[in-house]
Amino acid sequence: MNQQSNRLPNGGMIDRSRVINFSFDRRFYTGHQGDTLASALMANGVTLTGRSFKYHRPRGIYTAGPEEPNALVTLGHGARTEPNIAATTVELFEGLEAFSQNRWPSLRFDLLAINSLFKPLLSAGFYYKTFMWPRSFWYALYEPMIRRAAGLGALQNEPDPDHYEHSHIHCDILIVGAGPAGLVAASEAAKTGARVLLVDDQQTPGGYLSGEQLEIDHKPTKQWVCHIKDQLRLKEHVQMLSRTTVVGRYDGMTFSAVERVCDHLGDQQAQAADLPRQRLWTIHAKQFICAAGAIERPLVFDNNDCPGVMLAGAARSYLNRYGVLPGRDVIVFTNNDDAYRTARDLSAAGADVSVVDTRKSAAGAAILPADIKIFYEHALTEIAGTIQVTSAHITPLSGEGEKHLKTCDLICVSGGWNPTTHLLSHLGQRPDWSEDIAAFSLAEPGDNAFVAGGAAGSFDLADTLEKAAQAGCHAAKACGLDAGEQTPSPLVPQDFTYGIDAFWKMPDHLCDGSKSFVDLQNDVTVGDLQLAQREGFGHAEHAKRYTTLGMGTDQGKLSNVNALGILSQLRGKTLAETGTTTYRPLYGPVALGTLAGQQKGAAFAPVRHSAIHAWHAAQGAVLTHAGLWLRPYYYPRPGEDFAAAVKREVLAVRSSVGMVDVSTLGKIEMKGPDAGVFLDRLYINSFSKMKIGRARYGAMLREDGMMFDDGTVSRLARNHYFITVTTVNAGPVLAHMEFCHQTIWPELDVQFCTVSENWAAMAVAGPKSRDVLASVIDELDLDNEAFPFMAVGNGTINGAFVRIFRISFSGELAYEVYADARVGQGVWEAIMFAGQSMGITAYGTEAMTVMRTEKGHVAGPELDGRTTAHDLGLGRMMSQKKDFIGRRMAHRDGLVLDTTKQLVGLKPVEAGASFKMGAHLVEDPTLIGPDVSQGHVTTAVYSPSCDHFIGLALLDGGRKRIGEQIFVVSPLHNEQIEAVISEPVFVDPEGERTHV
Amino acid sequence: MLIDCPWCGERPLHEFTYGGDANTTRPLESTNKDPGEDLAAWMDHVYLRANPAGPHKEYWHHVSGCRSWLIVTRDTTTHIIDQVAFAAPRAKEVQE
Amino acid sequence: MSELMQARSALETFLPPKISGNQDQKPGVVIEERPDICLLQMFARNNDPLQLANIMTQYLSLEKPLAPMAAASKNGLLICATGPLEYWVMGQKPDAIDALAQIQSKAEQSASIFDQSEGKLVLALTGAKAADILAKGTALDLHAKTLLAKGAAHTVIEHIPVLLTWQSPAGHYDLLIARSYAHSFMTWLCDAAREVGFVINISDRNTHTMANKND
Repeated sequence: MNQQSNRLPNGGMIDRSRVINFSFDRRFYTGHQGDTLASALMANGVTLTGRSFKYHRPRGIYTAGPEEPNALVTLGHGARTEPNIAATTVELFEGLEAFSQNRWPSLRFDLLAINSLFKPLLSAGFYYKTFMWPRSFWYALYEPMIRRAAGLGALQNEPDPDHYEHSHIHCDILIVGAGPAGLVAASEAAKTGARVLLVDDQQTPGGYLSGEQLEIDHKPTKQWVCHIKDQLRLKEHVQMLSRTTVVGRYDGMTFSAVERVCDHLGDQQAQAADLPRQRLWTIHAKQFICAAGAIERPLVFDNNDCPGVMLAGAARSYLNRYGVLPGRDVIVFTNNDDAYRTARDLSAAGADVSVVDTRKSAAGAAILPADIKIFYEHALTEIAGTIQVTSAHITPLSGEGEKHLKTCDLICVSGGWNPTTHLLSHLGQRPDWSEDIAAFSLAEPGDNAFVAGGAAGSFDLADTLEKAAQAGCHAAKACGLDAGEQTPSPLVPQDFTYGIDAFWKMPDHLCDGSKSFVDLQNDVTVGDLQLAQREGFGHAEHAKRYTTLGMGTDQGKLSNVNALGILSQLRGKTLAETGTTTYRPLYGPVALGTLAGQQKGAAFAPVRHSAIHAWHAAQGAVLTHAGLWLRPYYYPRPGEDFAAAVKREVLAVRSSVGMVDVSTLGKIEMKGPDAGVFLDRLYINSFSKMKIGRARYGAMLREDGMMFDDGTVSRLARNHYFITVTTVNAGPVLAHMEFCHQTIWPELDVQFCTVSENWAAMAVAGPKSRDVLASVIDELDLDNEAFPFMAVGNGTINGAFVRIFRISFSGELAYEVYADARVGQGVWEAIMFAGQSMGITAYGTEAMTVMRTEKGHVAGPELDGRTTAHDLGLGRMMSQKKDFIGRRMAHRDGLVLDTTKQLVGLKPVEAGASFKMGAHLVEDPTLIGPDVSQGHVTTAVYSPSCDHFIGLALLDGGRKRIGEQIFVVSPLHNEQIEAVISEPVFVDPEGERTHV
Repeated sequence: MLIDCPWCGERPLHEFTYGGDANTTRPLESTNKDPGEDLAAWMDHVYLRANPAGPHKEYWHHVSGCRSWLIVTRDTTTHIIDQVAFAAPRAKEVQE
Repeated sequence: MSELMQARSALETFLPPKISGNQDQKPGVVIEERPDICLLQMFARNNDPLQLANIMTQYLSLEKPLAPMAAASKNGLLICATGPLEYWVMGQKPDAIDALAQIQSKAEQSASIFDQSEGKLVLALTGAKAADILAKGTALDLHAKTLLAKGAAHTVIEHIPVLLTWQSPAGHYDLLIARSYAHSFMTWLCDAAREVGFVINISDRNTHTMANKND
């Protein structure tokens, strides 16, 4: 059964001169360029391709497209292993290795088929009724057992090594589907000069025509397709994406599409080409034409899942597109005329064909040669064969009369065609039941949308070409383009008939439905649907979840409508009344890697570097994240751990001099005659009357009165201010200022913008800081009288402009040096060089945190959005003479009580003890409960200056409790210590050091 | 979702930040010391929201574009945007 | 230490990735750092928003103000209408120094002017595939018929703020990228340009001049 026994010598769109070697379950086969894995397997007579999800029933290839429920395989090796790929969508490439899934030890002999014996225990909703006792057995035994026994493919737990990318594309008209409808619509629209984007999931256009033997203008459709494609290629404003599936439609005429860039190339070739494996396109369109065609649905009867049973249209595809004869002894079982084309084509290729039709008569029979036997008002029962169908009984539907036993190796089924309207429904619009095609479709596709061809429920080629041209014209018109005369349609035979008669399931007197599969992938039978209805879950949305119908990787493309038909019968409702379940993106499975694109690992979020970063990295600084910024945390010297390095850095600053990179601070430059007034309204304190050449600490509230941010405001000239804000609030504060300026006080003449990036900033702190800077800064007198605390001035360092602010976060004599970003590192190096003889030490954010805590300066952990200025001891900063944002709300009764959570300091009673940020403050550590906490620790650090742990905390009525003792507890860490409540300052409480 | 910024044209959602309800009235500046007098008006402005199912006037900030604050009328059930205008009167003047 | 301070490129320590593509083919995109670019950000002042627009229109010898996101050149300056009350002016040192001083003095009364020269990495992107590569990062329609021959737009690429300017012939873009993001942006750009091949020129020629920053 190999060497392509089913391949015909001629016909199809494959290239027989190019032979491709591949393997399936480690057996080697050959195929041709243009094959899918499914067509190549079929050519080699391989009919068994998998085992079903629950019952491990043998399964074969059912379709010729992405709607495939059965032939799911695993491809690839190692980290590139990908399970659950429909063999019908895999373009064959040299060296392809595929494996079947969900079977052990082998596909042919699968021990887990024993599951089918447990079928009564495993029916719909079984986990609500069975495997429940004893309770502990569920997690320990039943669940793992069931999980191992069922399922699809397996994942390798290795990171995906492929690279993916995202991109954007714009068009006037998006056309989904390059079958006849899409091609004609694209041609018409392109005539007007509209920017057209034509997307198709195959490697070449043609759509369903590729699987048919039709003629347009008396020529094979292949020629007509080539001609249109070439015409479209010549037009610059027409773009075509092939191997691309549009998976979702979103608000604002935005669509998502997945392009399979490299999947058909095989690993090595793909890697060499520097291409992404797949690309996620975001498509921006003005008009949308849905030409996505239609998907055939099967008939539902006992053992309809046997390998060798497939969709009639698929069988035609294998024959006409791939040159494969899927069987020689064929039964075509149908309720519509379309399947008669399968009968005709297979018969012409040499197969023996019989037709079984559920209807009384068929106009479509006219196309068949006279010697083909047709059984009207009959159906198929007693399908025999386990790993391959061998025979069936042709049975009168009435139950009376003779049954005929017919041997067969292929059963082609057709229950009708479902228009693929998903993209039209992704925004919530449900399709309507259309009686004449016995399917759901959308008559009104909605704003900015059109539909043509199979997707519109039109299966007649002549009608399709006409309507598609109209759609192209109308879409172009809707874009404001002149469409002119519609191009006359080419000549198409007018012999189309359909005549469908809905047939949802076999009558009860012929079979009980327990082996009639509605959802092949999830092993859901008619019996399961009957059970759901009996148990009160018969509504479409309930039945879906109760039985898992439609919840597999095929998303019910073959099963949904059949199920709705069956349920409506069981419930005595019409299909119009039953309606559909909700359609949502994504149309098919999409790899998570594709959705992530480049945003994974180090590239997940951008990283921001200060202008001095290279120096820190070269020094071996340990870095930490502050928002998107990467900042030095500490600079370990050889042999130092975190604690040792931080201790050394802090002691160096307090005894001599250190320097820290504070470039990440948000910086805003503000100008205009009303700048001072504007600042007065934003901050709790005043700036409009500040002296030029001075800096002042400022605090800002939110509209609800809570502390928002703090920083420094410096006045550089009469109408020129320079503002710094905390690193993480840089964006929000700027946005807040813009809101106030644009919406609240637009009459103020003030202009401002961010200059965060423009300045490198470094704080030089410690008793020797003046000496260091005086030795390296020119044109600025740094004496205490000339440049007092909070002064601002300019100078140069080696000719580079620097702005100096005498402000201090550490509590030592300190200066912040601002330099142009481009010379930032140069200035830093110059200062380091100048300070060498005084032992200047670079310090990181941890040492900075320790020192600000020693001084009781509030920062992020204290400004958590629940604290007011009053709570943080900044109440006196609030001006009584002016209005400012948050003023009224900050004075709400509840917020000014003396029992609010107020900022205090904490010292452990026992010198060597420590506590954690987030620990709770309680009076009785034995009580645990929600009402017991009286506050929490906001910052906790070891203080080298004090040689013990210190903390800042928010404590109920804290300011009145200075000197008392309290317990600091972390129940999660099983820690508790006793601490003394102190003033929130531990070093130089009078603040003398900054004024020397 | 796309917002048609009056300056920058149609841009995708990720270029904007939502700024909340644009229907509230901000009480005028006052330095009165009388608690309770204008508190009700402030409480309404800061906390009270109608939250309609239907057209809603709201603020959006074009942070990754021209940084204009915009007043957008959006239907909260369909996301269809009916109107977009600059919040700042001077920007509106320039537009005309 | 009397030597003048050396200015550094934001990309000084950036290591371009290797590409395995066909090195013989012409690169699809050329990425070049433009050092010594002066940038001014101007906001309209004085409660008359049209004054600044009028001054710019006059300077450019146009009949009416620049349309939104339009740009025009004069005397080596590129003037961009980037917002309803905002203009960006871009010029290359040393050639444009006089023109920059000139336009500053003309606009002084009607605008607040901020020097943004230090805050941006300026990359010139040219080549047949430049627009395609940019499309991987921005949703801006770079082929729109409504896009003027010269223009500028604030946008965002992979969370990174970028002021994107374009000039004819089509396919020449200047990207003004917030400086701290330089490495992240270049990493993304090289990754995006991998499939079409690229060439990077990072400048080692960075001059730096002093300016009075206090008004």
